[in-house]
Parts: sequence; C-alpha cells; structure tokens
Amino acid sequence: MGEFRKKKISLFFIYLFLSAGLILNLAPLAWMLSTSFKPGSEVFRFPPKWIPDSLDWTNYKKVFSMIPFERYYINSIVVAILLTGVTVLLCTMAGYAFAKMKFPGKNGLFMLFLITLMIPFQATMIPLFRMVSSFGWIDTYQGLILPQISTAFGIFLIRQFMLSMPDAILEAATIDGSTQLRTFWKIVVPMNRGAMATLAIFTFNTAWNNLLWPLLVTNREQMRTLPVGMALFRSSRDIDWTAIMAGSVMSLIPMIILFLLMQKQFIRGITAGAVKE
Amino acid sequence: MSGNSMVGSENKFLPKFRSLAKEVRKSKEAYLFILIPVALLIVFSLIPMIYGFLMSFTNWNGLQPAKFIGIENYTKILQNKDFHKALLNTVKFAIVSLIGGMGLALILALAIDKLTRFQSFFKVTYFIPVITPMVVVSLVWTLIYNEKGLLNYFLGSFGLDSVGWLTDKRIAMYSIIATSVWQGLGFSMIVFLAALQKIPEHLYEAAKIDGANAFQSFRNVTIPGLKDTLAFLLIYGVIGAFNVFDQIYVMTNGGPVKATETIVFQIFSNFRYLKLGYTSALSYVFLFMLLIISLIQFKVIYKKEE
Repeated sequence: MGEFRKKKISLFFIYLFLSAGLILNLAPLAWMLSTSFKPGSEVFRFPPKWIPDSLDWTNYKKVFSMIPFERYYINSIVVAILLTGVTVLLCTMAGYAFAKMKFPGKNGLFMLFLITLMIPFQATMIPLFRMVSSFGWIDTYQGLILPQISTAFGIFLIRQFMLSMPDAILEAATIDGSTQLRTFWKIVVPMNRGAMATLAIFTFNTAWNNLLWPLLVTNREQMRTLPVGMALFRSSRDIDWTAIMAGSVMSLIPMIILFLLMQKQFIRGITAGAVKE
Repeated sequence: MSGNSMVGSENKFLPKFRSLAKEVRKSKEAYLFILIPVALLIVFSLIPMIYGFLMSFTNWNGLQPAKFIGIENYTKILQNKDFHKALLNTVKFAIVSLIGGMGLALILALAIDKLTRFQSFFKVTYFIPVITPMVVVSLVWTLIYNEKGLLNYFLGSFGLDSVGWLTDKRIAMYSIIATSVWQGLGFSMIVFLAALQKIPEHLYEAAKIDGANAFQSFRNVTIPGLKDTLAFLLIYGVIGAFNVFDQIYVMTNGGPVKATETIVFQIFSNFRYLKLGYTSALSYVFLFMLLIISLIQFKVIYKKEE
C-alpha cells in the first residue's frame, strides 16, 4: 500500500515537472503569436502582455505590402512540392533496383551513393554555385530545385524497407508476364507507401526550412523562398518586429497543419534513420 | 565484334567480358531505374567535388582568370586566426549543445516514459519546436534576446542587470546554443523515448530481484540499453553542429567581432568577398573533417544493422 502511494506521489511530481517544462518550451512560440497581433508600440512594453487586448490583424496585412510575401509563399510551395515528389519517385525506383534487382556494378554504385551520403551539401556548395550560375540558373526554379535533389539518403532508407519485401510476390508477377515497370507501380509502390511517406515528410521538411542554398542562388526578390525572404526582411533597415512575427507565424502554419494531421508519420519522417522500428 | 581475330587465342578475359556485356544488356531495365539518380550524383555531387578540389589550388576571385598557386590556400587556412576561431566556435557549439541537449532530452524522455496517461500529448507538444523552421526560431529568439526583450525584462524583475545576449561577445555563442538546444530537444527526446521503450521489462525486474535500487538499475540496465542511441545522437549531433548556419546568419551574422562565426558561416562570408579559390580550399578542409566524423558514424551505426 505504501509503495503504491509513493508511486502516485512521484507520478504527480513528474506531471508537474513536465507541465512546467512544456510551458517554458512553448513560451517562445506563444510570444511570437502574441507579438504578431500587437501594435508596434507595444512590442517592448512591460510588463509583457501575453494576450493582446484585441486581435489586430493589421500586421498580417502589412507583411504583404512591405515585402512580396505571397511570392515567397508560392516559391516555397513550388520548390518543396516538386522537390518532394521527384525525390520520392526517384528514390523509390532506385531503392527498388538496389534492393531487389541484379545487375553488374550494383554494389559499386550503391557504395558510391553511401559515400556521397557522408559529404555535406555545404562542402560542395560553392563549386556547385559556380556551375549553376554558368548554366544561367540563378533566380530560376531549376536552380533552386535540381541541385537540391539529393537521393543518397532516400535510396538508402527505401532500400532498407524493401529488403524485407518477399521475393515470391515479385517473382510471381514476373512469371505472369508483368514488366518491371508494371510490377513497380502495381506491387512495389503500394507495398511501400509507409516508407515513401516517411521520406516525403523528411524531404518536405528539409526543403521548407532550407536557407543557405536558396540564399545563394536567388538575387531577385521575386524568386526568394520563405526562409530567405524572412531572414532578409529582418536585416532590412527598419526592423518591424510585429510584421516579422506575423510573417513567422504564417511560415510556420503549413508545417503545423501537416503535423497535426499526421503526427505519427511526421515524427517518423523527421526521425527517419534514427529510430529503428 | 572487333575481337574476331582473337576468338581462337587464349585470352582469358574475353569470355568474361562477353558474359559481363551480356549481363549488362540483360539488366537494361535495372539501369533505367537508377539512371536519373546516378546522373544527378555525377552532375551535382561528383563534378562539383572535383571542380572544387581543382579550384582550391588557385587564387581565383571570379573576375580574373584563375592562377595555380599550389597548396598556398591550405597553408593560409591553417595559419589563419579567423579559421582557428571558427573551428573553436564550432567545436564549442558542438560540445555545449550536445551535452546540454542530450542531458535535457534524456531527463524529459525518462519522465515521459513513466507517464501512465497523456504520454502522446507530451510527446507531440514537446516536438513542436522541431518542426519550426530554423529561420523562424531564430527570428523569435532574436526578439526575446533583444536588449529590451522578454528575457532582460525577467532579469530586471528580479533586480538583475540586463545582459547583451547577442551583443556581448562572451555570451552570444551561448545564446545561440540555447536556441539550438531548444529547437532540437524534442528530436532527441523522441529518439531516447523509442530506445527506452525497447528495453525489455524483465531486465528491470531481474535487477529489482537482485536488490538494485533505482540508481543502480538506471546505471546497469537503462544506460547500456541506450548505448546505440547515445552513439547515434552524438554523431548525428556533431555533424549537425558542424553544419550550423541559419541561426548564426539570422541572429548575429557572425558577430560581435566574429565571436559566433562557425565554419560554414565562414565559407559563406568568404564566398561573399569572391575569394573563390580560398573558399574552395576551406570547403575541402570542412569536407575532410566531416568525412572523418561520418566514417566513424558509418562504423558505429550502419555496421550493426547489416
């Protein structure tokens, strides 16, 4: 009986600790939301007001008139969606070939992918930039997207999943006269939707957040993505914190919606490679 | 084809080559499946790598034609005080953020693991900063760290002096580290939690029967059970720390007086001054360091999975 009571008390303190931590953890985001609804004169007014007297939407409208915010948004969406779609398709196909097909040079090529997996994008970025600019791809979607399609991680991830796919099904399809491409669409893709979703979320998240490459390959305001646009907005001469916070809230919204809709896949996607299931 | 005259000869390689060629022809479909990734790999990874390596031996500034100068860029880097500073800052960032981040995340994971209710609620809400773009995170924290910001207000309400969170060169790096720890906490927590939940319950029961107290069972059951996870987070974290850029760019732009310049930030800022030869050499030094870390990672983590 005593032990049961002791357990209950300790559990109470754990809940207390976690709730206090949670408030601290979410406070910065709450401050962002709160500031985004305040008039500029109240940003540094103390004591801090966490809940503004009235919801003032003018900051949200202001962002669109101060910077081409809708363009940033469209650019980010185009880049993230295309990058995700292409990456998932390519990695699923290549992952299938590396997991289930036999061909000369397979191990050598797979090793090559694994080796480039170790090389960070940041290390080859400057020569890549010179190449891309000599193609005339500065301020273009292909310049933003193509160099960022990195398939090594995705191929590795998908291949790991596909290794456990039973050969018998694939063989049966081949015996029935199905071409490889047809087998891929009708059998392999449906069987590996989970792995593809994981990779899709990982890629989308990376693309949506990326700052450095888009910063390098865009000069025109019209071609900036959200992170670039917001970072440069902050370094403009007159810092308007309320507008910056409103823009920040809006840049975060798609991720929050996606996250709330599919928490499980989202967490699995972002921690892909870290958590073995 | 061209080997007609050699058919009768004793060449051992020809039949081997023929059967390989036959296999290659038979594998046309497989090659189609990997064609584009291989092409992308060559164009956007291997060629820039070679190109960058060659550039690193020149004094190219993007305007005048490049001149070969041997390893001068590399010796310059190794002697450059700014590079030493950036390396030191990067290492400082890695060590402090990893110890702080992993410690806090483990405590959180242990606490959440004990919960009987609302477990997934805490898991999900602690994860929200992880999905927040780093630029947004940096913007919010820049506001909080402002000289008249929230943090200094709280210090003031305890009668303490204001702190130059991002303007004092002794403190700025730690402020950026704190922000990064906050952002990554949920990630490490989830990874720890998954590992904790995989430790078989009977090991704890056995420890209890042997008379182990809470600390002893943590020391002898939990810690060994987390060994792989610790190794993963450590190496993953070191690589992430070496790549740190966004926070620096948004929050301090490397300042005050280069106190927060990291290696990638330095690559970026040298590039801005069009020191392309020097920047390429710097990229290569960076690549080499990362390669060593990744090789260790490869040995520790992926070997086990096979």
